[in-house]
Amino acid sequence: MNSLKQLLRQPTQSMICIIMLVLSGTVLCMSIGLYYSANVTIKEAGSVYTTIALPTNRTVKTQEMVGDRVFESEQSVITSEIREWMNSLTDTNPEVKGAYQQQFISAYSEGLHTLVSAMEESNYSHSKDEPYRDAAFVVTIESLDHDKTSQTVDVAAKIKESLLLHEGYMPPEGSLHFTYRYFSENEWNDASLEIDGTYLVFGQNYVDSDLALRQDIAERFKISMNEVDWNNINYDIEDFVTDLKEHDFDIGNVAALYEYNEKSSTLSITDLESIRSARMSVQNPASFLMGGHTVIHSDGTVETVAATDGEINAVTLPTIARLMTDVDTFLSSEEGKLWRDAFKQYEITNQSVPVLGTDLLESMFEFHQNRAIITSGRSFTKDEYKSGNRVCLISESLALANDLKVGDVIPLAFYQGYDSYLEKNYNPPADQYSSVVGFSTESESFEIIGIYRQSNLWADTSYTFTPNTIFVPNKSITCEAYTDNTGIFYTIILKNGSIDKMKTYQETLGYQDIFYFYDQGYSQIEDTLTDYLSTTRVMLIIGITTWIAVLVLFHALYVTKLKQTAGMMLSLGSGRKNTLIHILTSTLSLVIFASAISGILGYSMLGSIIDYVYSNASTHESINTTFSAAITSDTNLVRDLTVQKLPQIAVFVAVVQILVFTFVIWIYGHSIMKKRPLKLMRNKEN
Amino acid sequence: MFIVEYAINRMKRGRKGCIALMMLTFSFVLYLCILNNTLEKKEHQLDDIYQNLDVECVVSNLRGTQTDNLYIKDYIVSLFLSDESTFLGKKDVIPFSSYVKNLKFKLNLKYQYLVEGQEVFISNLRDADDLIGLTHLSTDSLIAQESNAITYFENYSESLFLSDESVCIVSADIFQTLSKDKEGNCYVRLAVGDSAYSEDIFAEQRFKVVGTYEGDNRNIYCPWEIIKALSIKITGMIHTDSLSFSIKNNRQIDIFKELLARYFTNVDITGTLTDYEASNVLTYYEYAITVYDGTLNKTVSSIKDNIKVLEILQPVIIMMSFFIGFLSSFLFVRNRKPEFAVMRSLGTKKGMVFGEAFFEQFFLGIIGTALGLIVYYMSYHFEIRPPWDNIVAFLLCYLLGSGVVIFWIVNVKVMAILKEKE
Repeated sequence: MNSLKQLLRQPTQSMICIIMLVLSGTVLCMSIGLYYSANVTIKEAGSVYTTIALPTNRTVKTQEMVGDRVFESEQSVITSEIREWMNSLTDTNPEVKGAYQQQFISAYSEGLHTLVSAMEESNYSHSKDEPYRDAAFVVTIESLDHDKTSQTVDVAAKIKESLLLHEGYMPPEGSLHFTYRYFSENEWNDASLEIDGTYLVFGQNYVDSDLALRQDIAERFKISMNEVDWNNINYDIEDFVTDLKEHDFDIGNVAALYEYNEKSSTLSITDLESIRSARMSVQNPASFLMGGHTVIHSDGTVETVAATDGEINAVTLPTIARLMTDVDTFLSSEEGKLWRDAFKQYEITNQSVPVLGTDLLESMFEFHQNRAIITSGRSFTKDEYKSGNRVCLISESLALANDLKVGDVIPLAFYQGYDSYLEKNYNPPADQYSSVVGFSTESESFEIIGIYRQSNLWADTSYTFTPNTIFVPNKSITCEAYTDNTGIFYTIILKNGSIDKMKTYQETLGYQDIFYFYDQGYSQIEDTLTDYLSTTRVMLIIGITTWIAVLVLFHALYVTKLKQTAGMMLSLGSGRKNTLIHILTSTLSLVIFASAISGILGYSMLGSIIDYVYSNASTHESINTTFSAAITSDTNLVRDLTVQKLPQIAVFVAVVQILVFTFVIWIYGHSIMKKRPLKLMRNKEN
Repeated sequence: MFIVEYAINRMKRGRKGCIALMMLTFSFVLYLCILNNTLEKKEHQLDDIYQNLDVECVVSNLRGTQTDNLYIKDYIVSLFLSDESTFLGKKDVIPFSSYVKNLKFKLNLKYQYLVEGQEVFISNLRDADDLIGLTHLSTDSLIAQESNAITYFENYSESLFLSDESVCIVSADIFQTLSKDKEGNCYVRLAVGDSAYSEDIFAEQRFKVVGTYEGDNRNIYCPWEIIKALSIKITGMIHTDSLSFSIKNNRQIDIFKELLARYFTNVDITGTLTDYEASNVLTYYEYAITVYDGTLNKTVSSIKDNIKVLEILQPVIIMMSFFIGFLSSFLFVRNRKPEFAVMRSLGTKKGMVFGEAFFEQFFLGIIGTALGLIVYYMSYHFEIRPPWDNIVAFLLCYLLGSGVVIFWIVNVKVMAILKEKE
């Protein structure tokens, strides 16, 4: 108590010391707070970027000797050894943050209108429309061209009724050209194809020839497909042919001219046949198995193994049937059972989509490079990936076709097709549904949380996916799914700024050009971000220096004055312990009081300024989003301000201040206790 | 002289205190310099980010689903290539093209090989192969995939596409079929046409083959400048099938977006046509554009806010520094009260006492300040000039502190000071 009373007897000095300590402690608190805030800011800025490495899709032609046979094939440059190395990278290379594998599964969604490239102006390509290219029509045959050698028949037929055709195609107004391939005489006889006969035809590889030609002509003249008019065909090509002959060019297959705005372009006989028509192929896939499987043994010998009934039934499809009654009667008869089953399968297929499961959507090339962007809603959260929540992202085109929006729910029942096989590691189409295999899961509801747009719809490049693709968290796929180590199925995430290290690393192992690297422009600002932090670090160091300077001054001006008091106390018989306690009490009481105030002041000032700045940031300042790519909830950073403010800093500063002062004063106190009282009382300065 | 001599002797006797005070002024002057330096550097670093980060803009169809094969017309292309631009009859003070950089173009024309003496003619323009002129490989989806599999000859690299040299790359399989001259160089002579424009007008072009890409595709790739010249020869106009670019000065994104709104519309998945009111020729906008500024906005927003925190805190910290300067000198001088009393009781005049004490404080302050500035110069060479106003203000506060207390002490009765029980 006496020590405290002593303080009150020197109110001005005590007050000045407290104020100085408070101010210096506050400055220190704010300096540390600013440094920490800058650290968080830089981490935040850096987290905007993701650096990825994608395995190459390059292939090399290889030849393999099996016995005395030579088999040529195209193999990926990624050998099994390289694959093993890739799989070990997460554990062996500190620059690798993780490897992400996407899974592929097909999903049936009842009532979903799927997309075909025919629905997109100037993008039609029949090969992109799998598995929706099966079709069934009632037709009347107009002509037959039978080639017994190849066991094929080219048929031109008039369509009477369209029974099974993806809704994205317009039924042709003219003819259906199909090539019927049969595998046995019985099959040919059963078909009993005749001109003017009415048939039910089920085929694959449907091509809208009219649409393809329109697209071709639109492309030639750089006009809209809607402007292509078949009335602009000129069949009088005499002048054109004469002109060609004058230039010694072969007239080739020119049959007519399409004319537009004083320009013309040639049309062949095949082109003319394509007008208002479609084509497809008709054959029973099971026929390939009738002769059995061909097995090549390691010694090069070839063996034919008979296919089982199950295998044959699983892939059997109807082809062509003569209709003696109306089609409904036929389909409901015993004879029509195979047809009914096939129709049901393909109705399911036409409402099925490819589903890609992912653990980090932004690691996929198209999203990473902004070729696919989320235009509505948001991406998956970490929790959703972790828990496998039933949420999904769909394309803008799919949303438009189905009148879906963020927040809607769609049912998905996962399945795999019979003996399904992906030809490419990009643009995976949904499998054709097989009733033999059935569904892998029950139908489950998935909430749409985001809608994405692709800048090149129906692109066919190494990392693309079709607009039918639905994205889900990997863990929400609760059945076996397909995956791979290339293409869209595999991405490695690297630490930002580590591309050069990674390139050097793979070169030292002899694995050059195995990976393509992309960092979203991080390397352009990496140095700047590093400098930003180092600038703040210097300020922190100088801030600590100023605090130390105040501490030293306080010690010199206040603490050392207690030397005389200590001398007096010791000479009056106070005892060293009591004297030391007095010194400590009278100084530390100031320090503790000042430290507490400086901590509170520092935190509240920094905290209220951060609150003010960031609350204005989130409500504000027109980020001008005109023409901007992503204008979704993801755009506005939701910041955790407690991380920025970090109240622990104030406590830390107060505690450090108390501890440092305690230590210094303790040491000083002990040093003066060793001296004689008279020496202590001598004041050299006065 | 007495003042100076006394002050020096005084400082020698009270070394610890003087060093502590000098250290305080030194550290606070340095802190003020670093604080100012930090703020200015952060602004520069933000400028660096604005400068270095590319914001890409991509022209697309109205639905935003196609960025290639757009056949973008001359009136759009010329915006980016011309040194002047006008809008609604008025010439822009700053032309449109000055806002953009890293232009990426691509144009497809048709070609047919010509042999010596053959007339420049393409018999079947429709089925002819593609001559693709581009500025960057990334503009063509086929060749972009093969970018690692391109072999450039001699001293050529991807930068050839930015030149105006008449060179090209062909597929490896096609290259095998071409003949070479005595020096081992391979040339192709082509008739070039544009099926969209006319089936009768052709131009001739000779290319030196300077690279190959894997595969058997019949596309030939050449620099954009060459195909641009060919397009002008054939059609009189310049078109492009795809167009993307970066914004030159990201600080002017908002201004540039206003300019873009003159010629492009927003992407609309429904493909709804937007009235083009500013045009006398076109009824609707023909093209949409997307600006990929999300990354820039996310990067700079957090940094901007962090800088703002420092900007607001800076005057607070400066004020605190002034107070500390004031109080430290106040406290330092106040401790010498008995000494001043003795001086005055021995006959020293008030003015002399004030002068000596003030000179001592001034001296310590100046030395500390000078040391702070020297260290700052050694570290940063005054790249960012010190905040002289703040330093002077700090020094003044420091001197004010000591001035006030000295003035007060010299005006208090000597006996009262000597009688104090402190």
